[in-house]
Amino acid sequence: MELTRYVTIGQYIPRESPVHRLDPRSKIAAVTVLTVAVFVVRDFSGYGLLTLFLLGVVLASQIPLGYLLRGLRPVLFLLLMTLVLNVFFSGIQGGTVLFQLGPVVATREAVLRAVFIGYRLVALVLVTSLLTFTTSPVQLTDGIERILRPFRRLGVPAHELAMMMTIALRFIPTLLEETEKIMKAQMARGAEFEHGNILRRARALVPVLVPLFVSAFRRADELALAMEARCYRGGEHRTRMKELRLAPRDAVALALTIAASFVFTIPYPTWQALLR
Amino acid sequence: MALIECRNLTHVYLKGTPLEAVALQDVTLSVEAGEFVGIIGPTGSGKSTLIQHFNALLRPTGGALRVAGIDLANPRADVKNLRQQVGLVFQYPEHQLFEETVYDDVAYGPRNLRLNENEVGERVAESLALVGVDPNRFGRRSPFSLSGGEMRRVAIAGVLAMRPRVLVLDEPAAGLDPKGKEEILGQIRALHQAQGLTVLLVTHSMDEAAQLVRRLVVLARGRVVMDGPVREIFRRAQDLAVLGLGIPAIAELMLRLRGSGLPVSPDTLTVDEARVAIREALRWN
Ligand SMILES: Nc1ncnc2c1ncn2[C@@H]1O[C@H](COP(=O)(O)OP(=O)(O)O)[C@@H](O)[C@H]1O
Ligand SMILES: [Mg+2]
Repeated sequence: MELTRYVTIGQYIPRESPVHRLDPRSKIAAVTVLTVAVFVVRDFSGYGLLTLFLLGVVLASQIPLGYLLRGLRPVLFLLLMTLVLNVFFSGIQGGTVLFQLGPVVATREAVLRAVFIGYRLVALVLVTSLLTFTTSPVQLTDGIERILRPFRRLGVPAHELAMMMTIALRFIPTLLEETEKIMKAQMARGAEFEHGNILRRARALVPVLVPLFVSAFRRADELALAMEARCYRGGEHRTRMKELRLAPRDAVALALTIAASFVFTIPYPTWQALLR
Repeated sequence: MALIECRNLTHVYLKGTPLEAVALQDVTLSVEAGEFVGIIGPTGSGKSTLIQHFNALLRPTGGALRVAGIDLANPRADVKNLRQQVGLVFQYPEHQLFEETVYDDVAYGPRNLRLNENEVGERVAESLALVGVDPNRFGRRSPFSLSGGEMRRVAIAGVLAMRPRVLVLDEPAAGLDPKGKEEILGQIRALHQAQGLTVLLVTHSMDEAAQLVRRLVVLARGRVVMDGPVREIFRRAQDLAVLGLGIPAIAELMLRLRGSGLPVSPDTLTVDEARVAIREALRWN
């Protein structure tokens, strides 16, 4: 039983790659630009180019592609549902009929749209996983804090939000580990989590959830105490050991991403005209 | 055949991911029924990983493992039967307590075995008594209202209530005060001597090992680097130091005495033995 094998969210894979070295702020900005591009692109030429671009980034990041694709597993069900619903219940009238199952008809247009929507979902998951795989939680929240800083005037508690995020991300693996340990301890006393109907399975979780909550509260207490003992008083007057500093490579990476995103959105007919 | 038999046991965590970590490599080890074995090694050497194999909470990713005649390389092995025979007490077992009363918590295991309530009651009373907790006084209390040492003993009782033949304990004395330590270790010794349980004890305290066990297995970086009678192993102080491990305080003291010219016997591990050895060396008899 290895829960960390199935939950890759918030996981960071330390490597010495150019993508890892980028400033978190430029990575967050690049992800935002790409997200917009994913929604603006409308034809295969654009998606093809976007795929090539993402593959390039994956190669540069030294994250194995297979591992990245594994992050899709939790959204697989959502993906299938999206495909099925969009193919058969698209509401598109007319169009070329591809095949028919009783009363439901799949048209060429509906299939195309389903594929586009499915691709968008995949691309979004990949882009955000790339961000978390290549950016340590501390860097990520530092980046978010710096991006939110100008909004402090409007009452946005930038530092507090970032600190909460850091702590939450930091504790995902800890709580997973704890869950695994408690489940094992109860299994050693004859607990079974994979047998019986839903009701029995839910009941079997009580001996896991109670100790998990107890330990989460204990950890929260200890952490709060440790922070107070070191005079933590929120963001005022706090300095940091590692200041974020934008480097020339950040400008290059961001410029490349923006330029590429514009290219992706060029419609196919324009490509045809350009290449003639 | 030995009770526990592993041959070239290997375990890799998160195999096939970028985070994979080799925790055990080529571990070959056998434990006979009735032995009291200590498992010792620096942090991260694979002690906890190894013992979780003994009741099938982890499965080997390579090599062969048989426990109580059950082949654990076989994915369809009878795990339920095995977990009843091999009781595993995790590190900080008090973190697994969850019921409203001490009685119900200890009864969790027997109830999972679908015993009738009479038998459950018998087992609860028996196992609480084994760890020195009075069932009448503590049975109705909430486990969360107990002291650290009491909670730990109740948690160990929860495993004993399965009536295992083999008891495996991961650092049972960690984080307790000296008195709590003494009590728990004394009870474990009694379980071995009076109940005839086979005991495997993971510890990183050399003094505990010297006091309790006959045989010591030393792990380092996922491999068994030494395996033999306690006294022989503690004679290899230098090899142990290379691994970042020390020797019991008394053995250390004897080494220093010898170093400063007092010819005490090197084969001295406990306070009583030390008294005899020093008197002999000083010719005080
Ligand atoms: N659940 C896990 N997932 C991944 N790696 C683990 C896990 N548990 C232990 N490890 C790794 O396996 C190695 C051995 O750990 P462990 O058996 O806990 O050692 P010990 O008990 O001797 O301190 C360590 O390097 C540890 O980081
Ligand atoms: Mg351990």
